[in-house]
Amino acid sequence: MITLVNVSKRYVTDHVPGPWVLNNVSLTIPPMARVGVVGSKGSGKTTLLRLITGTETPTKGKIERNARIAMPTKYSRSFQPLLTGRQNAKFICRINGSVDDLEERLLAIESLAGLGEKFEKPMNTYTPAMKLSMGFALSVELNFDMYVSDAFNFSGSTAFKNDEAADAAIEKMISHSGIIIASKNVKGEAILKRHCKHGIWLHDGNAEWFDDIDDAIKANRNSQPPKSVGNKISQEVRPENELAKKSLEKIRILSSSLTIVARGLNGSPVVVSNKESARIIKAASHIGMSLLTPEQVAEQGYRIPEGAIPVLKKKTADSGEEIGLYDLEIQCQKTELNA
Amino acid sequence: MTTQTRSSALITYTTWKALFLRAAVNSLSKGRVAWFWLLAEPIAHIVLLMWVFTVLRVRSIGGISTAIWVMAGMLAFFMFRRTAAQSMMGLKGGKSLFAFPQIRPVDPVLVSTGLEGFLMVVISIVLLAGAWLYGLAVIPVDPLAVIEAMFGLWLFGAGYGLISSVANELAPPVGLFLGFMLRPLYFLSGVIFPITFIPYPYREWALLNPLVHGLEATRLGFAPYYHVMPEMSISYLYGWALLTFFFGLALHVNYAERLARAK
Repeated sequence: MITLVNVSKRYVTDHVPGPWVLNNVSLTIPPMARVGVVGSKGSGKTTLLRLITGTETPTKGKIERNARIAMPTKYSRSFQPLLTGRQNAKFICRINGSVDDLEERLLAIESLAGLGEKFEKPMNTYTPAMKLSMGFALSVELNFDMYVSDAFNFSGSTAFKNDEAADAAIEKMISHSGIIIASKNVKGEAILKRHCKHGIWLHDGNAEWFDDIDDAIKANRNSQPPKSVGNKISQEVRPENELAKKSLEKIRILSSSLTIVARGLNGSPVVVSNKESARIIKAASHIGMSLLTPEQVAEQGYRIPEGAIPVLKKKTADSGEEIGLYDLEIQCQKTELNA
Repeated sequence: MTTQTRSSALITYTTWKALFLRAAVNSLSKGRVAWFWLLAEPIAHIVLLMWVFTVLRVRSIGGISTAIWVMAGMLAFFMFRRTAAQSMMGLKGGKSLFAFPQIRPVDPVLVSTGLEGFLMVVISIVLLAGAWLYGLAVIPVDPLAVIEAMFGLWLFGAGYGLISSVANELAPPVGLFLGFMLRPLYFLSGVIFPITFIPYPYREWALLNPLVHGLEATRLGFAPYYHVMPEMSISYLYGWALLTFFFGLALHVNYAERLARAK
């Protein structure tokens, strides 16, 4: 059972107190509860989770934790790169109070992580997927009462072949415990729907409890303005004549193509809608990056899932060899090509 | 529902233990022969200094053999400097650990002071045993006095490290200054030449440095017939040590949240 009593939180930046992120929030999270946290950007989802795990202390109010709480996705960030997987696992077991059963736990972790000989190698030789497998194995084997996470995302890990396997793994992890997850985007909402029963909706510093996660997601959706690229410009200026409209359209396309290309360079997958495709694909090819349209994704034999997170396809400059398929694999579902 | 929460003391104990073992493994596996450098650094300093004194034909300082004078002083000084230098970096290395709510910013700093103190005890024993095999009279006549002085120096080093670790994060220029001060202290603490060589008005100033008192007390513990300077006061060293240690702890308690969040 986790109880928040009149909790308020604000951050102090350069001696100036910021706005209240959470304002007088009272919540009771029952044991074994499966809770999803929704809210727009900056509504305090991460702050709430960090308060619950005890990483942050509330500015006002009180939090009572009568459970062993873990934030498993944080593990992959705190591995010490020079130490082996076993040494890192030992450390995390130890700070979580494992003494007599340490060897047993380590055996279980080793087999669940499925890293083979790599378990004895320094962690700076691990791929991100291997680190993820380690983090996952640790969180399962340490048997916490409540798992707290910004976003459960185990897809892309070597431990799981597809989304179903990842889901099954998460279900195994939380079979004897509760879970609190925050969603960042549409894909996150799908995960919440799969794993959570209850919901918390954060808005304007308040937290509202919903017995049904669907209601929380609905409430959050209804409160948000519809999204569109470049809507800032079109909202601010309402041009009267055709010429101004045209030049505005040009600026809009340019700025949106720039953001899309920038996003792609940051490593986040990108796909372009039909309307802007020609221009953006041309711009991207100038810098050696190729983008896909939804039709091209379909031609490769993949389907963009509902609430699409689009796809980036990159080219290596030297050999001209395409390496984009990896991104396709983890972002899209493979479909049978119909002749 | 079997909810078993642990007591605060138990959490702190297991956290320190885990951090200590991790830091120990880490510091010994950093390079190919990290354990060798642990011993090589003090040996190099001691051998070089003894060579200089041999060339100058200084056979005894303050009534004791130069070798003892150099070794005792050097080991005592390293007890302070290693503790201070390593623990002030403790926070930097521990950044990623603050994701675990069990670990407070003060923990990695305290653990590294403990680890350095432990390593220095091992290093001292190894070096003294080596010197003993060479036939030098390095067995302390008053071991308790040596331990008392060394512990005072360790405590002062820990206090220095606690304060500097906070300063490094929240007031970098101050941290830089404290880190930089460790270098001139090597010359100003009576490690390589006796403080008694300093002429009268300036000697008073040198005596303000608590390390001078710690080093002299260590030498006196090794050889009770050492002509220790008359102003030597072990309580002066402990005054400084306790003051800095608790001031450092207070800083850590006061700024715990800012330290955990500082980039």
